[in-house]
Amino acid sequence: MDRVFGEITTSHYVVLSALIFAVGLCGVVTRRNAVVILMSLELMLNGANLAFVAFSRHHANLQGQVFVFFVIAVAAAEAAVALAIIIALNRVKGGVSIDDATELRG
Amino acid sequence: MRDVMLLLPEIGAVAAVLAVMLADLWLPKERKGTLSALAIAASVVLLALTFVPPVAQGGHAFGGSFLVDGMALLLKRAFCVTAFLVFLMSREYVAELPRGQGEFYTLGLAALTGMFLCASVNDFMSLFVSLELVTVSFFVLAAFKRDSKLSVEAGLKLLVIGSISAALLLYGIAFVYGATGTVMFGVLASDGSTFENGLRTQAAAGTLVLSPELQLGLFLIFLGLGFKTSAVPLHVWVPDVYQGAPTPVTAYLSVGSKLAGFALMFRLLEVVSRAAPVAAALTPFLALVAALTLFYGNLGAIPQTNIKRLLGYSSIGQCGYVLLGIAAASELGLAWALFYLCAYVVTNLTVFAVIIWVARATKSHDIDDYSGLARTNPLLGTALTVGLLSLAGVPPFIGLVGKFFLVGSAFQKGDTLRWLVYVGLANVVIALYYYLCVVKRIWMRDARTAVAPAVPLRMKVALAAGIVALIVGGIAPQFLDRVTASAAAGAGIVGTTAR
Repeated sequence: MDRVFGEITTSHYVVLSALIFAVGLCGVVTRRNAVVILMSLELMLNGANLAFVAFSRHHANLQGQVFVFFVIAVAAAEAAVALAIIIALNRVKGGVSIDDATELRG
Repeated sequence: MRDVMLLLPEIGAVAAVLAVMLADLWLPKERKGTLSALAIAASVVLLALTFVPPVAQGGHAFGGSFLVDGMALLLKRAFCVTAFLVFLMSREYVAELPRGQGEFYTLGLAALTGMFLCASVNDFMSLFVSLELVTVSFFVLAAFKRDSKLSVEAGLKLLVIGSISAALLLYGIAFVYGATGTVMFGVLASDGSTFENGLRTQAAAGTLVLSPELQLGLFLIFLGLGFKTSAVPLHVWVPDVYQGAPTPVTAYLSVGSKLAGFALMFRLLEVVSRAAPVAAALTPFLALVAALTLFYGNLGAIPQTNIKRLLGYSSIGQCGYVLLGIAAASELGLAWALFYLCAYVVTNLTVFAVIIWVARATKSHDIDDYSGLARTNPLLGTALTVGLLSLAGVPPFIGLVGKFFLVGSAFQKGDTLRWLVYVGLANVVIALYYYLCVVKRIWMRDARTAVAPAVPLRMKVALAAGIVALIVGGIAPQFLDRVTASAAAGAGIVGTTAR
């Protein structure tokens, strides 16, 4: 494999992380379903996580990897709150589409 | 041990969170009012803890990732005052909630813990976790009335925009880490010798320039922090969430959360300003954001008919003035930005206290319902008038002093920021228009609110104190100025170690 693609460098990982982050961002902006938006947000965070781990290996120190643990913990807390809010939205509006949440405007 | 002593206010805040949570479990339903007293007492005790010698002396803790300096102390005291006033004005409001009184105060104090930490962080890891502690607490608080469509919608909007901004911030941090190889703030202030590839020497001129990855990282970080401070372009949640969230939460959000975002911006900028190329790269970006924020907030406020929504736009505009001082990136700019924010705490909370009490009687937030408020209830009318005029920057109130010197600090930067000075001045005039439209209604002859809202003695004292503070602060600003100037000057003294 190495002869065909060459060595996988830090740059490869960073480009992949940027792609994952961009996919997540596009999902947040274009999707209408709140649950899918939540998934896209997780994708953005995981894109950043991948960049942290790649840079951590690049610099040969562990700060980046430790950071990722904190991010995972925070993301879990955020997801719990997000799902609770989506359930509340479903109760008051009978749906989880973002289009149901358009009463505040102006 | 000394490290732990420096964390006294934070430890106290966590203890208060746990105490309120446990008290909520033990107290019978009819005695839940005690929780409010507990939360109010906790904010006073926490304020006292910031004056305890080991904390008040300041210093580093935990390998330099936690920092207590003049600016951190001043901001922590401001957070205590904010929490105290918010808990004070929300007592009756929360007591009328069908459920979740304990959770309201628990989350409020959890957010306060996060704000404390935001004032003291000195590395990106603590920055992210502290900021998320504040943000996630506010997600729940904004959606607190879960049977109300508007409240849930506000929570959802805060959640989506907040999470996007957190992800942008995180990605920015990843790139700064990639460029520098460390998550400590100190490295940004160094001369480049500790950088692996963060700063590159430009061969021709021999000057240091920023590498693209560090530039991208800093850009994303400031973009992400802009969410908290309601700066363009992540300001879009502000009017909607302010309108939909429960009013005490809006008050807390408009002051506490914004101050936490600015605390982090100040801290980063204070570090960055010691590395000339980094500061030079950020100034035009911040100046542009300040100008856009000013125009968006002040022009958007003009057609509003809902007072909470109006204050949402107004708060975007106020954020623009602080950013104007930040863009000036001088010690003077920082000192006056701190001054302005301290004044903003008192001013905005005075306004929100009135709104909470009027809405208790009228059940509405229409600006039309404020017609003749000064006749039906002179104290509420006067307090709202003074608060709005101070926000607008009318003499003799404190808002004028802050605005004057913030614009002045940009003026001192010379020709590069001269255009921003004109933008700032133009916006004073725009803001005056919409604030005065409300003030005019308050003093109209025909009162639309027949029911005079009953104000308890506690709130009368608080409102009177607010009015006096705004006037005295405007006539004799040197007291507050001395505090904020020394905090800004002392900000760099203990915070200089680069790791």
